[in-house]
Amino acid sequence: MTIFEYMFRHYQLIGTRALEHLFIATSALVLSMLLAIPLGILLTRKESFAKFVLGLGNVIMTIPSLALLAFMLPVLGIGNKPAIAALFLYALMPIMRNTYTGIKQVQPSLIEAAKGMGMTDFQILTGIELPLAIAVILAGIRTTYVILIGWATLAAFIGGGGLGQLIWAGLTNINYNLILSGAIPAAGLALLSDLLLGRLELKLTPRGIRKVVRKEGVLK
Amino acid sequence: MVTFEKVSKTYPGGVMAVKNLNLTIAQGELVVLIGPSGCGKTSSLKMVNRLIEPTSGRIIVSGVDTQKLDPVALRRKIGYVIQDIALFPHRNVAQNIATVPRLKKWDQKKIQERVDELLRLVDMDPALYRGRYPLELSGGQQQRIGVLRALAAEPEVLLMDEPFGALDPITREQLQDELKRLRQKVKKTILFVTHDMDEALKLADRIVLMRDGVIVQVDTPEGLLREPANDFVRNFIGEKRLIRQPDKVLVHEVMRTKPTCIEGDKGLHQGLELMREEAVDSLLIMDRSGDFLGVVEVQTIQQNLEARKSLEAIMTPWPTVNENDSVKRVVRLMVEGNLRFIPVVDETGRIKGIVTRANVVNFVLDYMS
Repeated sequence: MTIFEYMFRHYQLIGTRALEHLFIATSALVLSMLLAIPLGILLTRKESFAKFVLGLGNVIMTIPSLALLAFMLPVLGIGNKPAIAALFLYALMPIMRNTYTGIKQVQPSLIEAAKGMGMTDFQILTGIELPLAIAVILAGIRTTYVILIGWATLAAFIGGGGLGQLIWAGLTNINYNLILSGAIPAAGLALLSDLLLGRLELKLTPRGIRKVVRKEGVLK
Repeated sequence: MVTFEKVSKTYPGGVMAVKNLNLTIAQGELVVLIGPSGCGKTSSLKMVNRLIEPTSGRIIVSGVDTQKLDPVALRRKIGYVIQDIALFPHRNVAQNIATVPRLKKWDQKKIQERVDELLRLVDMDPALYRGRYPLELSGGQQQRIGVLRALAAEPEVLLMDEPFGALDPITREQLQDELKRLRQKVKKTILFVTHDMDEALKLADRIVLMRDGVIVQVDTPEGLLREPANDFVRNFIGEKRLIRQPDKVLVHEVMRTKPTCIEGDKGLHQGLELMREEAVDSLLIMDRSGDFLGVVEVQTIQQNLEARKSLEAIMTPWPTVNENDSVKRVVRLMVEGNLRFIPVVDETGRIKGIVTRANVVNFVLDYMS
């Protein structure tokens, strides 16, 4: 029996686990965006905090992922909640940093021109800075999501479900087909989301700077 | 229209960028602020739209103290063009031009008409350029749009901070010409900062020359060139550009050296031969030691060709000037005697050169252009 036949026979189980998996990664990402993007914007307005907050975020990043999951257990019990919480913390930093740098790399002369013509700070943010930073912010979200999909496999260790559960079960039973039917869809999801978010990124980049962004990565 | 009253700006750290500036810019006038870097010209400009807040003093725009207005409302009344052009790259040409009208909530139709009107003003076809993005335009086109963006909402005052500084020399000149043309169509009060004296002389109604935060001289371009207030102004303008009074220009700056001379004891045929060789119609006659004696013209030789005479015998006495005399004296002698040229001699009478009418005219043209 090839792996593909095996996977086809158990597609319902794999499908359920995949959905659980996506739910964990996506909720962590969305919650993280809700906090990290406004925080990143705020940091561009309060330079003195930027160093401190970005440093704190870096500290969270250095905690091993499995350890962080374990820390969540006593607080949130078992299930997918501690997994989502841990991944949420992980996602904060890269999204916040990309939001911050995305806005910071907007040419100061554009801000000065906007201000000189009578735009309010809010109009400058929404009309100039965010549209020009969107490519960088979305790039941060994309890589973060891909990493989250990878790390979500660890959720199984604390009873969070997801594709990790198949891998975990396969490992304990030394069943390679089971391991692979967790690992292959997980890898596939990561690649697919990278592709789709890449498309979205390009689509949301304002037309006037698309060419430059595609060539240089950011607007110079 | 714009009045600076005892305006000073001290930056944190104690640097005094502008010291007690008093200046009034009349309605429709283009005033250029110029000076070496750090002279306070840009600080002065940016205090008008309050991108920089003055430390003391008042700036009054159309009768209203700028400190009494909300900075955002103030800036929407004042056009602003900067050196980096700074068109918004994610907005197309029409959207860029419409920036301030949109902030002022003009209705869509009025905005569109205004955009097209402005594009036609600089000979850019609206149908072709409206939808273009800044990165698809040349530098010169970008700054044209930059100027239009500043003009869009009919501002009372236009601030231009080295607007053409980032452009190549040819494009810069084109845009300067266009600005001059534009000013004939739309009479705007403009405060213009540059460090380029040629640009200032070309565009300004009045030039304000600054150094170390104070005004050194305010005058029309003509006045500045004629009567620079001191050596700093003279150096800044550059000696070559200064208009010099004719009585201060000396003959040796204008004269041609090595005129066609011949010794007076030579015969008429020899004289005629020399004229043919040198393609001239007059000769300066000198003695053996090179001292000037007189002039022989070709008609005089032809009238006397039968007689066996020396050149000395038929020459005409002629006024001369010293090489250190003023050109004014040359011109006077030429006009009084209806002379085509004047020989130049040194103190001992030795021939040094010649000034012709052509020399004088060329010299005058050089200084007038």
